[in-house]
Amino acid sequence: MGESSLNLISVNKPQRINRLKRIALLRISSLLTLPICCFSHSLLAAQDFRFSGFITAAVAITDNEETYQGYNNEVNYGHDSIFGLQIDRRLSKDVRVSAQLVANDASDFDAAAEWLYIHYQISPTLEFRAGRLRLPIYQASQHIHVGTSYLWVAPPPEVYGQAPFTRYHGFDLIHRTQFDDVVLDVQFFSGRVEDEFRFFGTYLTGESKELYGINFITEGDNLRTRVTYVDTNFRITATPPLEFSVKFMTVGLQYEIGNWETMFEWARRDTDALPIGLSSGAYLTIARSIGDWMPYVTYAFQESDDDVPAGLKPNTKSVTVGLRFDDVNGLVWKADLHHGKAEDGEAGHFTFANATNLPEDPTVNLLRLTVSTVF
Amino acid sequence: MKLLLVKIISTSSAFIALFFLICSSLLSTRVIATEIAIVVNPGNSIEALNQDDVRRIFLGKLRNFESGKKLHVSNLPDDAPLREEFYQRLTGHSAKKAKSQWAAYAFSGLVEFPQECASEEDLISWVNKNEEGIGYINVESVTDRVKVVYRLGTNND
Repeated sequence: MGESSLNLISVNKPQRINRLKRIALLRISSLLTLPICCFSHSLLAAQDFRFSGFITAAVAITDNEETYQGYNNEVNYGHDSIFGLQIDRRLSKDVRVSAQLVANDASDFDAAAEWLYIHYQISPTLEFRAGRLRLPIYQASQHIHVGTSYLWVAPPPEVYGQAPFTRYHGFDLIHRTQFDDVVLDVQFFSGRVEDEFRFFGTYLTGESKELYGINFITEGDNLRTRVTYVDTNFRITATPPLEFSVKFMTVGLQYEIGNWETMFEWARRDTDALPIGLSSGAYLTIARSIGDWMPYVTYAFQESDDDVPAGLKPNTKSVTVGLRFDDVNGLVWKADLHHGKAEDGEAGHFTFANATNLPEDPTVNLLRLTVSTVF
Repeated sequence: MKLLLVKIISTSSAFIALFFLICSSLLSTRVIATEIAIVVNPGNSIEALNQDDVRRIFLGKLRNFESGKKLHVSNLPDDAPLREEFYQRLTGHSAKKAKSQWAAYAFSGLVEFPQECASEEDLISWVNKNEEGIGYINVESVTDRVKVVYRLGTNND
C-alpha cells in the first residue's frame, strides 16, 4: 500500500500536525457558516431541514504484536468506530444543499465535514454538484462511513486502501441515461485535494492541485458495474517534498442472484514515484442471505511491481470470513475473522515494517466486531 | 448418568426442532395478502406505473422521469406489517434490505431520504401536500386525497 515506504519520509511531528489540524478545522467551520448564513432567515422553519445520521461502534484485536492495517494485539475500539450527521435542505424544486459531518479515528474524533455541497438538477438527466465532495472511486466509496449500507465490517484495504484520501473540493457532473432496465451514469469530476491523511499510523499532508476523473456506472436490477479512471499530480508535504503523478483505475462488479451476492473490485495505482511505484489489488466477496443473517467470505490481495524496493512492497494476501445480522431494532451487527499474510521478506500490510524491521511472524489473524445503525 | 443426559438432550432437541418446524409453517401461512395501492399526489400528471417502475422507484434506482417529473418516496413505520409485506412482494427481499440500500444512496447525496410517515393517514396527508410524493397503503385506506397509480395485487407474488 505504500504506507510502509512513506515511513521513509520524515515529517515534522505533532506541533505541525496540530497546526494543520487547526487550520483545517477553521476552514471547515468557515465553510459551515457559509450555507447557514445563506438561509439563516429561514432558520425558524426547522421542518425544512432534514437531519439524519449514522453510527458504528467497533472493537478489534489481532494475534500479532506488530501493527497490521492499524490494528495490533491490544483491544482497539477506535479504528472502525464512527459517528456522522447529515443535514439536507431543499432550496427549490431543483436545488438542495447538504452537509455531512463525520467524527472518526482518522480525525481523532473531531467532527469534520466530509460532504458540503450544493446539488443542482439541471435537467431530468443531468445533475451538478459543487463543494466538498467524496472521491467517487470505488463501489462503496461514497457511503463508506455508513456501516449499515454494505456487507463487510470494513471494505477490503487491499483495494480501498490504495487511495489514502477520501474527499476533494470541486465539482461533479452526472449524466444519467435510462434504458429499458439499465441505468447508465457517466460522472465527470474535477477539483483539488488538500487533506491531512493517514498512511496507516503516520499523519501526512498531501495536496493535488489538478484532479480529473471519469466514472461509468451501470445499474440494472441484479448487476452493477463500474469503471473509474483518475489522473492527478500529487504532492506530499514532507522534507523533502515528494511530487509525483498518479494514474488510478478501478473496475467493479456486483451481481445478485436470488439470495446470493457477489462483489468484485480491482484497483491499480500507477505512480512515477519510486518508493510507491505501481501497485494493484483486488478482492472477491461471495455472500448468501439467510433471513436476517448474511454470511460472507472475501479473498483479497495486493501486489506491486519489482521496482519497489525489497522489504517495502505492500504485497499481501488475505481471506476473511464474516457474518452480518440485521436485528429487529434496526441495528446491524457484524463480525469477521481476517487472516492475512505478507509476502516473505516484504512489509505487506504491516504498518511500520520495512527491510530492516520485518515482523517476526508475517501472518496475522484479526477479529473485529461492529454494531451500526442509521437514524 | 452420562448416557441418560445424552438421551434427554437428543430427545428434547428433537422436540424443539419439531416445535420450530410447526411454528415456521404456521407463520408462512399466517400472512393474508392484502392488495396494496401505490399512491401519488392527485395533481401529478402520472396516471399509471408498471411494477418494474414501482420497484425501481422504491429501491431508489429510478429518480427522475423524462418529463422532468421527480418522485419523493415515503414509507410506513419500520414496524408496520404492511411495510415488510410491500417490500417482500415488490422486491422479493426484506424491507431492511431496501433500507440498507437507501442508506447507501441517500448518504452518498444521490437521492433524498424517503419520508418516514407515522401511519397510513399520515402518509396520505403527506402525499396530498407534496406534489412529488409517492407512497403505498392498503387499498382499503385509499381516499380521494390521493391518486392510485398502481395496485400491487395478491397474485403478483
